[in-house]
Amino acid sequence: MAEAMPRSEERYALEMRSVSKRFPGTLAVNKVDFCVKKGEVHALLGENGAGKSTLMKVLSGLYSDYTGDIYIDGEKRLLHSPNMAKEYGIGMVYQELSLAQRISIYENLLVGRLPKKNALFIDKKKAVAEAKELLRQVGLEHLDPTMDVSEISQCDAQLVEIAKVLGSKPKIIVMDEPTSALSSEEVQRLFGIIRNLKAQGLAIIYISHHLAEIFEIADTVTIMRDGERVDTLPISEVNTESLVEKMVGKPVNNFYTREAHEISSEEVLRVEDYTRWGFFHHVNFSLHKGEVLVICGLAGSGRTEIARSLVSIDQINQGKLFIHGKETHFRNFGEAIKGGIGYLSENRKLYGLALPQTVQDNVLSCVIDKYSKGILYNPAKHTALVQEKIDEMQVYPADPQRQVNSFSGGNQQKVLMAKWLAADVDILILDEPTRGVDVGAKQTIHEAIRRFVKQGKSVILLSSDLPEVVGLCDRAVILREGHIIGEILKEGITENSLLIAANGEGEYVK
Amino acid sequence: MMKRKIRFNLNFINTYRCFFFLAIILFCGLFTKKFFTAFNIRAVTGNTSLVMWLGMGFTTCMIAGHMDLTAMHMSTMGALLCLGLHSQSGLPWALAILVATLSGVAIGLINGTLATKFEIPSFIVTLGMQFVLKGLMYIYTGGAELSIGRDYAFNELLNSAVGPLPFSLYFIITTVAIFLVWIFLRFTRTGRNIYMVGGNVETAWLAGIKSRSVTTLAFVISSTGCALGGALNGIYSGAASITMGEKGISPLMIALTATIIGGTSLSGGKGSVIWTWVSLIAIGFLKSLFKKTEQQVLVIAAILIVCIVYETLAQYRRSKVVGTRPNLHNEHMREIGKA
Amino acid sequence: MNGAQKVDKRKVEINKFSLIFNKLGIYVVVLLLIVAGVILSGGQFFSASNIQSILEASALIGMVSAGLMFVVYSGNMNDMSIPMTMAMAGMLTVQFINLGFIPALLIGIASGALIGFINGLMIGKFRAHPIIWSWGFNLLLSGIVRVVWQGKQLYADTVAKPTEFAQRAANTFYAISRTYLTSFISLMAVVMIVMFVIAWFIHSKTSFGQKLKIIGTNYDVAKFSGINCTKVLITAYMICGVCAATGGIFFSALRKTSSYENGMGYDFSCLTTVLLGGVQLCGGKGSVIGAFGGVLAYSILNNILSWIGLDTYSKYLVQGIVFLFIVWLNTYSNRKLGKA
Repeated sequence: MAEAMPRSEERYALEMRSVSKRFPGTLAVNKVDFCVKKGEVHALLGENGAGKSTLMKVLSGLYSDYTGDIYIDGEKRLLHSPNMAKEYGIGMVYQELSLAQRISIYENLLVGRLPKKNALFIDKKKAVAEAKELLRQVGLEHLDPTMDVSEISQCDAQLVEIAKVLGSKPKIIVMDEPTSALSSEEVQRLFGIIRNLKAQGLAIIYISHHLAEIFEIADTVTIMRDGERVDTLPISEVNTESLVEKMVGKPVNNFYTREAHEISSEEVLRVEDYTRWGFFHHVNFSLHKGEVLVICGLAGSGRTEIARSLVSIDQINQGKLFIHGKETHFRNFGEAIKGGIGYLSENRKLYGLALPQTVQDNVLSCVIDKYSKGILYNPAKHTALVQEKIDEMQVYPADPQRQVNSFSGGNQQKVLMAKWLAADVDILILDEPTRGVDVGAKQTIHEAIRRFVKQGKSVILLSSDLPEVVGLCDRAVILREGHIIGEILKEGITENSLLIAANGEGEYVK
Repeated sequence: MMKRKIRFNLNFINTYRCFFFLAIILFCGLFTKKFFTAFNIRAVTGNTSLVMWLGMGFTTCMIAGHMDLTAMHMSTMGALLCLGLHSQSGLPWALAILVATLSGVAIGLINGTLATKFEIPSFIVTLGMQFVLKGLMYIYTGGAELSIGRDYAFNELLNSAVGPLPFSLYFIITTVAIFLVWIFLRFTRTGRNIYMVGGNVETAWLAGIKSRSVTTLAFVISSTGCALGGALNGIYSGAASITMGEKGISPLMIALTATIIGGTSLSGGKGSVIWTWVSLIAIGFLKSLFKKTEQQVLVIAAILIVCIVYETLAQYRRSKVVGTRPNLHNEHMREIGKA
Repeated sequence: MNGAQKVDKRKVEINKFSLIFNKLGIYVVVLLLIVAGVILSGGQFFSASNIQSILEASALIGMVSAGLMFVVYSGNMNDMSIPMTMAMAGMLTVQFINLGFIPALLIGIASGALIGFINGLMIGKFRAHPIIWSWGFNLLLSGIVRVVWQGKQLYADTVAKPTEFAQRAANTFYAISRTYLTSFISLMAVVMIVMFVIAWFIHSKTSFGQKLKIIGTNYDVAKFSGINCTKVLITAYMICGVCAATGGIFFSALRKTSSYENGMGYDFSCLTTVLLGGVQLCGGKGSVIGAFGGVLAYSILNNILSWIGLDTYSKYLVQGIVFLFIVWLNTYSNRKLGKA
């Protein structure tokens, strides 16, 4: 941990002094000092779960129970509601679009503060002119502000989102992964806008996983790890390797290492020219028996989409899928499970577990067909199986009849894992299996994955948690912008090499 | 290239479908006897006026992302209260109409509160409220039909044509009221907030809009409009009974059909009471094209179903491509161009 | 630590609350209602004629509720096409009475299955808005019924040809709603109970019921568990359609007429009974036994209201308020449980 930054005489646009935010069970942000100068693009870096999103949520006023002091333009401010944050000049560009789709652009831009002509009516002319001016600032002068947001492309919508923030005349703008929906030309346009804003003296906090972008646009970087600030440096003093090293921290402890084991050369799954237009193109890779294959890519690289297509939740446009050497086509996910592929989805609440139902119902939910006799189905007969699986996953309390939403997040995730272990598939695709869970649950899940592959089954792992990837995987394919751009074998896998390759650089990229 | 052009036209037609719908029906009217007579136009517009109030209310609620099934019962209640208070209790017309309208405000507030504060789906709230209103009306009237009494002056006034126009005063009042609501929704900040809440509650909340009050306001506008419209309709037609609208095609269904033809989004945030109004005029004339109620029901239902299916399928198709990456999309376009 | 304790406390509260309503608590209500009925009716509550009228009143609503329960349970709130499904089945059965009673009955029931299939396809596969779709579809069906039969009422004995076979079929048709197995248990009530038993079996003993539970709780979770949501929802709507059709046939036999107005109001009253029986409006929670209790409670409540001397119309007020109260309890307990 770096020593606390001294309060300098220089006026910062934003000073956060030993800010902490505790969630039940975890300290998400631990006494972080974070200062941004005027006219500066300050990049905030860190792996998933490093606490940068939480820190920015504190800044946007979503939590009223943080500790520490926040100074804006040298004045101490309390940020206890989104409105307060807005009033003090903090503008958030959210990662998920927060525009109302069927509403016109100018109303989205000026939501809550449409200009009035008199006591009654809004001044549409003025509003449109104002909106035009805002759109001009983000280089969208060709857009008609009276169009609906649903009519414009997703990348334009992202820029409109930025324009919306500009409209509230912020002094500090937070951009959380603003480029995830943009094409490369539009990223350049966005950078032009950012430089322009910088010249106007605004402070910009820029969060991105794409290191290349950071080097291009940022003046200063702050690196966070495990809820703490690691370092703050001018961009000129760092390079990709040193950044990655600071993000990743010390060499991984043996907590993550795994004993070497034999991987047979038998191919259990292979895809050729696998394409879903607009999501991933011409993807080729194979998976061996007893192997943990990692599809490594940044957020939005298309890895979740590949996983969804492999189990036929979405249908591909072209390409072939071979299971155990046989060309296979599943019509739906149910067939895929019967064919031996399971998919643990990244979002437990939306896609993973039926929270108001019992553990037993959830664990058995993907094997109802398998365990039913004709149309008859008796879940009570399989309580032993459920008990076995949740014991294996060390779910606490290990009561199959308990409702899932009465468990903690970590235990819910274990239930989700137990569900897919109960499915008894040969190939398991795990999409962020340990997102947002505590260390203990993480370890349990990792052990389960190791046991799983030891039985001669195979795993495709999609994870942003680099230590986890390094600890578990036997081989990694690098996915970038929907294309496989390289492969790293077991020997070459380190957190650094993965992160550099995912950014499209380094020796492993073809 | 060709394909894109056709798609553009379809979009255009779809956006302005209520006008095309009206045009087609008026065109069909050219070949129908006694269609474009002043009498027919006055009758059609006058008889459609009640549904216009309902449509206005239904659309306003739908824009806010909710459904108001009480619209029909609210207007019946307005009519009964107005006629009852005048002919039985002897209140002057103005006061009777005022009381009827205020009952609408009250019911709107209850609906809105139940739907927002207690977070019950509005469809369910208003479904139950229908029966409460029905019960209240029976208690008030004892199930009897209420008539206007001997005071026909107001009734004749509402029925009379305005100047040389082939429209009754009732229709003109209705139209003016709907335009007022349209102006409110379109040009005032509160009105725009109703759209915003319907479009995305979270965005509205983050922008500091009081989404609960705004939604409740939409319910109040709906109920108040329906009650007032019902009261005027009671005077216009000279009588009112609880079974109004139970024979033939339910006015609420017509309001729903018009709302959907008018292009109001099923999930809120988009739509216009004027387009609903245009659709209702079209439906009014459509009904006069067909003599039999049965045919009217079938045709209107068919149009409604076509609209719902179209919207649903469009949504289904959109959900298949949502999240496409722009770089890859461009690449795909290039690949196709090559092939 | 403090936070964790807080969470636990909340859970205990929920369990207490849900015990009252979610777990067959409706039978306590039924008992209370019976006691109230005995008091208010001055002992005539248990007379054969009163029990007969309660059972008869509950039979039609019960038949439809047994099916509607599956739709509510699947998280689609309500099937608004129930009235026309009932009317359509009644019309078709009468129309085809010349083929004999059983074929006519089958045709009527098949029409319900077909309507359910279309509903299930649109709602289960294409994700149409369940209320708007079924409501619009109801209107379309009403249009079809009205055009095909020109808005007329059908009478089985006039539709039937004057042959002995057809007349016998017509008479059988009328008789199904008028047959009594004992002095007060009618065939209708037995059919209703049989349907509930079948529904209970389907709901709790088959894989379909289990799948529907997951779908009702969360459509996407079900989809991501490899459940064929389209197929299951189509089946659920078909069950609802078949039950509504059966109810419709008995209804028109009881009324001796078939017309497009036959099922009016059943969408609302059946939803009331299902919710009263503790089936959650947002889906995935509830039981057939509970729904049966809901039917009993609803009919006994109606019966008591007549004992008090309320006319049909004032009953609307009570029904509406009861409905709103039930729905409020339903959403309240659900919000406490935290569905998402």
